[in-house]
Amino acid sequence: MYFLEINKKHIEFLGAIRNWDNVKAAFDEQSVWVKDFLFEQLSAVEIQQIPFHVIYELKNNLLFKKGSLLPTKKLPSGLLWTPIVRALPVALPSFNHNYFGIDQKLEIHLKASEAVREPYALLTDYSELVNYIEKAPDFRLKPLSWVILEKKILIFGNPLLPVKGETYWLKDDFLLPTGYDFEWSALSKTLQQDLNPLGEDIIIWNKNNNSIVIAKNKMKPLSISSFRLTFS
Amino acid sequence: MNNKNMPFLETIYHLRTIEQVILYNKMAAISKEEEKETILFLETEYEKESLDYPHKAPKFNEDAAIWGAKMIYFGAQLVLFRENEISELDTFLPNYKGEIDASAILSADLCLRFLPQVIMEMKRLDADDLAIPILEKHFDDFHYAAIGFDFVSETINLDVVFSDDSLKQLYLNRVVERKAKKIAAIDTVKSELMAGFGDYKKVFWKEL
Repeated sequence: MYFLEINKKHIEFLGAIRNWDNVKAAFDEQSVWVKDFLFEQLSAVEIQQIPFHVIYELKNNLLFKKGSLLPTKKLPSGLLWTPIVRALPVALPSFNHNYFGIDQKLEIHLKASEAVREPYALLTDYSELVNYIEKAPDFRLKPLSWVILEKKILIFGNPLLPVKGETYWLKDDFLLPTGYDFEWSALSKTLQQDLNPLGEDIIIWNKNNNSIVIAKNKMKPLSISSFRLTFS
Repeated sequence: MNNKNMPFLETIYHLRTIEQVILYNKMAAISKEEEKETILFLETEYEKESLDYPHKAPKFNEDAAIWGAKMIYFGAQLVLFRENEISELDTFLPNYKGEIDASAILSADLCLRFLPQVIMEMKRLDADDLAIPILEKHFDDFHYAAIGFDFVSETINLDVVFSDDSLKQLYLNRVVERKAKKIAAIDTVKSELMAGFGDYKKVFWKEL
């Protein structure tokens, strides 16, 4: 079990991880304590960016600095744990009459993400796919649908086929490359409402910031006959 | 299709399109012309279906197809009408004469796949009906049509099935679709199924 300690005067740095809903926080006189991290969160960029933080591992009621063999201290008793969202309330600044920056724009980019996600789509090409499909068991094809994108073939569904290609995961009707997320992850819903308000499309968002719009009704159930009739 | 004087063709047509059988008042003999028409119809059906067959689909076998069609036609009529002695039934429901290979099994299956339900209906009416064993023994060779039903024996011969890639995969598909535990428990079948499931056995068939 891991704990993060940070001095109270640096509390605002914890804002970077305030959106992790599994994490809990508590206060003592000197410092803020945070616990219940998922394993991959411990090495996430968001944590590494927090200055002045110390990560401890709890063993036999003693706190060991990460990587150290000697205990540093004991966990203070009587800590009251609350979800970090409630422990760190957000205060809106009072209205600024001199603020003229409302025409500023955000540019949307993708960035690498540590979270593990189930892939939902596979972009591959005919030569890779034909060898598998023509011999495929139908139970592997039934849960999937597919669409042709110029020279490539996109397959949706789960579980995907054991075929070489690029994988994507699904978030608010966006297909993002696996291992990537929007830089402003919380804005994906807003983006969806802007770009795809009726939810009729799926938008592939590539690493180089290109995107491809695919109408959902263009996707057809994948089967051997559907594949053969398309390419015969 | 308007073939009022072709009850056999019409029955098979309904069976293949809306999966219903028509029962008539008597067991009418089937004319040569009607048989020819039916074979043509079954051949187009086979071609449509074989588009979805994995690997290279075996050739259509008209003898097997028409034999399967006759089995379901007479089998279904027998549910209601018994003017004939049991001893005569063998003439209505003869064994398949040709070689039993992948092509025969798949062609016969066009109609034969509906026979297990007819047998179940017969059993519901009279479990001791003497026509039942006559029909059931056809599945000793054509067990592909009856996967998942109780009367498939445990000692089925899979050599023919496994000798053809297309039929083998279709066979495995049907085992999974009908969750036929008894057949899936056979070692050779099980290892082939596992290969198909890959990492996702839990998704496709958790209980196996």
